[in-house]
Amino acid sequence: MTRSTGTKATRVMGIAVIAAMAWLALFALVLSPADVNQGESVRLLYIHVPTIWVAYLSFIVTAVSSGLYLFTKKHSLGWDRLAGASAEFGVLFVGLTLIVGAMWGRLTWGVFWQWDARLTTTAMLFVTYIGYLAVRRLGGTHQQRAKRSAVLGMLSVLLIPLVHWSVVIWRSLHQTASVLDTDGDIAMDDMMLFTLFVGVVAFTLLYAWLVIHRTRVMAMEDMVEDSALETALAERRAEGVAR
Amino acid sequence: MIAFFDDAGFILGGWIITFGAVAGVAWRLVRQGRTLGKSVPDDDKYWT
Repeated sequence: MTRSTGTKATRVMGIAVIAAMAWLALFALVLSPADVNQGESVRLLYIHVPTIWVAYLSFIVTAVSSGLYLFTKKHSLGWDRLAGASAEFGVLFVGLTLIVGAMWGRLTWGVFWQWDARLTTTAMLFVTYIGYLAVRRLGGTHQQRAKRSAVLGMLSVLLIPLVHWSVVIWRSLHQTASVLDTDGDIAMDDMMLFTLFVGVVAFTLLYAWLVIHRTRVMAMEDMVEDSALETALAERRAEGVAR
Repeated sequence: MIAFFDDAGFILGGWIITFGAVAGVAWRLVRQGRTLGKSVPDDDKYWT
């Protein structure tokens, strides 16, 4: 029997992800109270906040592993694959943040979208990393792919502070940070804070599970590509000998 | 409760889109892994 990307550890992790998501849905949709100002729409924030947290984490992992690829002597493609896999899920989670945020905006502000500082910089982050993924798909060897995308991966992460502090730098419709506030004061109901914490843990676990599987898939894609290239070269050499 | 039902379309819609997208990506990833796993010898898979 051939093995795929799963191992005993990833299976256990997968079960933990499903359990954590079920736990989150129970707390976010049933047990936690409605917000005094936002009403029931606060239930969307239990996925909106964790998805942007995981997106930030993804892009930071991309930048760190890009640096490890570029600045270590071995230039291991493992770091490059980790950077690429992490960026893919970062894009997925930023996309979900924008969609869920638009729904929350429709309920709270009355509109799906505003060209507000936070929304605009988040959209810029999304487009930048789509560009990063496009660069990864340009032709060349694995090492060429790794080198050019590592440079981009390290530069693109500089957008995150701009996105995070956009609500402080510019006058924004979007609310400022509720949990990671500059004065360290958390003005939130205990049950709401706990639900948010469950969401962050559940989505971080999910991200880890996805990245582990994706890096393994990428490793196999590279192996298959190398093997196809070697076969093609061998065929060309054989043609040359036959002439 | 009434407010919940007024907003339910957007709230449940947001949850369904998120979980649907994530489940779709995860399912595709597992399928890709199974397909590619047949083309690569087990000895070359560093995680086995």
